[in-house]
Amino acid sequence: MSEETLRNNMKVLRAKADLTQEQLAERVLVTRATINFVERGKWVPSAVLAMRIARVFRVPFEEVFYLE
Amino acid sequence: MNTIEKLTRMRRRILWIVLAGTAAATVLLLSPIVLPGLRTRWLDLDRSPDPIWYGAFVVWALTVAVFAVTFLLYKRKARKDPGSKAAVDDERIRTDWLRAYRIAFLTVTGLAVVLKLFDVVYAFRLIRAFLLPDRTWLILAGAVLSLVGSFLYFSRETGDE
Repeated sequence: MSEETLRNNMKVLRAKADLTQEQLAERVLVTRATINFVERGKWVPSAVLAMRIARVFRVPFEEVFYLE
Repeated sequence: MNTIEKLTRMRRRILWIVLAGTAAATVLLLSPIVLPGLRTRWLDLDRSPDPIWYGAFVVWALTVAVFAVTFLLYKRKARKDPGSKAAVDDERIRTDWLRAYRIAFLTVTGLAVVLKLFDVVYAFRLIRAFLLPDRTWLILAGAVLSLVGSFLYFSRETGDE
């Protein structure tokens, strides 16, 4: 089985919601750096954090995160 | 800049102080041994106290003092805002610390082995000393016991199947 990685549409969704990384971080209670790491695919968030991020954007989880 | 960012920057500054202070003290501590050692190709580990070592102690004491004060200020600031406090120690930061502990564990264990081997090479006529139950063996035994013991503890299965 090929190795799958978790990708995301956070940057687009964040732009649509007019949120900075810092503002999003404050809403989901993590540091700005962590949002940056997740956005660039350098850190796979826990299910809880991923759900919280999706909740901020008011979209289903799969619209934010997907496997590639 | 929100409180999370302020606390993150503050912690980063504190850690840089600890890193720079400890590095400076280590350089001062080792320079009287390593620098002549480079010239003579011999490390004189039994040399008499060097005045530079007092400098190393002052740097180290200053580092600890500055760390203590800034860490207390950091804690006080974090306590005022529990939400930000939790955010500053988010899941990525906790994992980063775990990775750092793993590297530190390997470094300390590796250093203990290297120093033990160095002891044997340095005083190889006392090779029997290699087997004596000295501090190094205690450190290595502690490392293995805590590593294996804590792994077995964390991976234990509890509850019904």
